[in-house]
Amino acid sequence: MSKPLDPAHCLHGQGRRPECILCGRCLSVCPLFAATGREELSPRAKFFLARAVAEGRADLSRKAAELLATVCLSCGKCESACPLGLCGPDLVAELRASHPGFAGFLWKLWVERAGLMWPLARSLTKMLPGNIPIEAVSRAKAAIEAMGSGRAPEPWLVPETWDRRHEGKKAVIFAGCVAEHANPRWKEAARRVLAGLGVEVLPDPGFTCCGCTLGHAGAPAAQAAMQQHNIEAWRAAGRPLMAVFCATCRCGLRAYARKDLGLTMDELPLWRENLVSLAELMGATTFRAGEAAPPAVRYHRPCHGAGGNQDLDFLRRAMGDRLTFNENETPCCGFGGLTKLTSPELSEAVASHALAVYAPRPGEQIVTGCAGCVTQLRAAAPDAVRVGHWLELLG
Amino acid sequence: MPVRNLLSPAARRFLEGLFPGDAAVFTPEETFVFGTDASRRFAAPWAVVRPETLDQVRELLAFAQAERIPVLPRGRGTNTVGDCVPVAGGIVVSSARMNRILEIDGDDFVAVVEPGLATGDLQAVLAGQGLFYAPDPASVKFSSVGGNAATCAGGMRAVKYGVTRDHVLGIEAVLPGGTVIHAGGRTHKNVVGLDLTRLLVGSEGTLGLFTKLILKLLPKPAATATLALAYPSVDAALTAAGDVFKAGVLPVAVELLGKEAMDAVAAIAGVPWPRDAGAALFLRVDGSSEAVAADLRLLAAAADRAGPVWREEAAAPEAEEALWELRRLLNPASFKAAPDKISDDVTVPRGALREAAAGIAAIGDEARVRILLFGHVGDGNLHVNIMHDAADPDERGRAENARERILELCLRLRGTLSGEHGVGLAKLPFLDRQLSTGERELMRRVKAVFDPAGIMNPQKAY
Ligand SMILES: Cc1cc2nc3c(=O)[nH]c(=O)nc-3n(C[C@H](O)[C@H](O)[C@H](O)COP(=O)(O)OP(=O)(O)OC[C@H]3O[C@@H](n4cnc5c(N)ncnc54)[C@H](O)[C@@H]3O)c2cc1C
Ligand code: SF4
Ligand code: SF4
Repeated sequence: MSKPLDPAHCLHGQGRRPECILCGRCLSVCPLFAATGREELSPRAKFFLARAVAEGRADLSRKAAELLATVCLSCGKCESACPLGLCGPDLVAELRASHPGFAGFLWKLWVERAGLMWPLARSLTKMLPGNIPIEAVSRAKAAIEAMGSGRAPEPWLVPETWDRRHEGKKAVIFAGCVAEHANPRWKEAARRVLAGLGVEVLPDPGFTCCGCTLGHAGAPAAQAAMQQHNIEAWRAAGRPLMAVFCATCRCGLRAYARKDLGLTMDELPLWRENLVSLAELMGATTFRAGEAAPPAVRYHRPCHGAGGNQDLDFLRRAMGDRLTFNENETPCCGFGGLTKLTSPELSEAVASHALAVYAPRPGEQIVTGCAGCVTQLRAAAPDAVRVGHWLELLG
Repeated sequence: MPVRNLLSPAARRFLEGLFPGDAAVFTPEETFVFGTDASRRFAAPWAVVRPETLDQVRELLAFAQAERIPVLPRGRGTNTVGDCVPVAGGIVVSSARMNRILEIDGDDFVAVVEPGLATGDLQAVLAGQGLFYAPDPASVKFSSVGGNAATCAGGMRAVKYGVTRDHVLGIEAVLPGGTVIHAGGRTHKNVVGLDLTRLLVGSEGTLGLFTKLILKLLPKPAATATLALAYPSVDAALTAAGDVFKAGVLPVAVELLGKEAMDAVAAIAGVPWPRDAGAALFLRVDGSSEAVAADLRLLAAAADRAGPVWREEAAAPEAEEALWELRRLLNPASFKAAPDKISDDVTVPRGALREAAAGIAAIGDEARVRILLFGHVGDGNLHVNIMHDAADPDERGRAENARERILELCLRLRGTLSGEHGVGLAKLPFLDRQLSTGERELMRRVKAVFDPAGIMNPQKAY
């Protein structure tokens, strides 16, 4: 097992955390607070409790550990709002530093309570410490399969002319754990798209989950193991383009370059450059709207990895006026972190809140570029509103 | 006041019955954050409840009075004076689940809202309808309408539009014992009876719990423009501010940044002003676009007399935003400037500003502490941040001494200890310097009429 590393919350900074000043800015942006009105779930509450625990003024009880480490969607909205750049998901690191037994404690908690996290269920049982009860694995498998269910939109976005500027390049597809296990059709669609663009798709190098969730969850050793596995797989494939169609995965993979995971100095820039979103590769590909086109489409911006807005730019080009996106309305879907497994009702409350913000009319669609968001919003949407990954719209 | 020191099992059962599910919490882990606010003081609450209806609040306040249990209304806990800290224990009542907009009436120009609504959320909805709710504390996006009313929050626009008090037309409140009162109403003027609305506004949670507020709306001004200037010294900037008021235009906002404040911002962001400038002034006007352009010319001419070393005008929204962002960065910047700070929001009559600023600078020099000075100078409101390292007892002592002398100075200039943040716990020790024994006694008697058992946010404010 590799040496423990602090989790990097996506691209967010590391280092010593300044102290929370309790200003309350982060309450308004935290989707958990917005959906439930429970201030104890807010970032401010977490920082306040974590500090008391770290300073020995409060116990690291089971309840405190759960609040701090599992009831967070890892959306990162607190970090953007906080004047000091404090980031809820990074909190766990602080506690781990002051309580050496914390990671093991949490691990046990999740295995018992959450079944097991989706990324781990299939590929990683071998790599993980401790004994994982078999029923936990099967529960997680069932959960993953259920995620893939629900109704996808009919394809209606038909490519007319492909942008061939990447013709002849070689690529591997990084599908991510949710797509890999719950929506294998997406990978097929991605393969077709790459073929259309003239990009040669290399055989699957056996990627595992990007590891983002584990870092937030305080299991850095397991996270680092996954990250290194992915780096090895990329190396073995000849360091090709890595085409990603899940914003969260892309965000998680980009963060590798900021940690000491054994990428050499020569590899670092290559890792950054070759990690490309499928939307970006689409370039100037043109589309026409087929018969099944809905009157209006809402773009749901994933909390993670939207920094580059590659999906949004691409979708605007592809869909024109049909696409609506309001910069002031970017609710979180509620999928991230461990909350979906540890407190499903909270996660659902956040999804309902997001749909209430979008208020789609019957027949309209919601489109996004993150596997988790699709899963989550699709389950919460009314029958007459289809939710899809943009890959599902391609005819 | 006879306060029980813990929640009895029966009381807990009562609360669990009245607030089922996650609407009541009792564990220390969950209630922890409800023991603090932006003052960073802490005392542990006994329980936290989240009412959704008037009836729940009524029953709660009847019960709490009968049982003599303190009740602490809580919005977003952004007050900086300890108003939400349960120093005598008690039940924290979070308004987070009473956050609906009940009505927006563009003919009556009123909005009826629940207290837990974030003020910025209301403003965003109103903007889409050409309407405007004027109060804009710097915390507007993350503080509640109820909290703003209970603290009578001010903001940058107060120069022209006044403070929260001037925009609350009516309040539905529940008093200890469970009585519901409706103070004021939805008319823009109203002189029937004593002005209970204005008494409730600024009462810091000590008289009753607001369950509904009727707010005054205005037509949204069509345009705004900003003029930012830098001067060699604070004195020159304040002279310019005085000249501006004589130009026959009432600006929306007149903000001052002293040199140390400008440096703090410069430490975390690129700044457009020359680094050797001694103060900056930010002015804003609003109205029709023609009026705004004309007013800006008048202001610029007036502000020129004191000899600015830099100036920038902005009329396009993005350009204005870029300038005001520099002012907003001051808050985070101030936390990075030193390990600790003592902040006050003293206010003096407008004409005494120069004397106050000079006096504050002199006190800072003598006590050898760095003072970040900025403020809503259009209202005579100065934010004084005394930067220090509290780990060094000598430095802490000098900072506290400077604070006391600054408060004294402002009172001598016929000012007030607080222009907008309130008294809470933070200013309580100094209150006798501003209010007479007779006046404080009168306030206590007024409280006793509303709250005979003394359960509403006890030991705070006056
Ligand atoms: C970064 C920052 C900037 C700020 N800028 C300004 C500023 O520019 N101007 C300004 O005036 N203040 C400012 N403040 C202070 C603070 O935001 C205001 O005092 C605000 O009005 C508090 O609102 P809140 O919802 O957080 O109330 P809380 O802090 O939760 O409560 C404040 C008081 O209101 C009472 N209260 C809350 N809800 C109710 C209710 N429903 N019924 C009865 N009483 C109730 C509470 O008991 C308490 O006494 C700032 C604070 C911060 C952290
Ligand atoms: S990451 Fe998102 S869910 Fe977690 S505390 Fe921050 S804002 Fe809340
Ligand atoms: S915004 Fe940052 S400093 Fe303010 S309360 Fe939240 S975490 Fe603390």
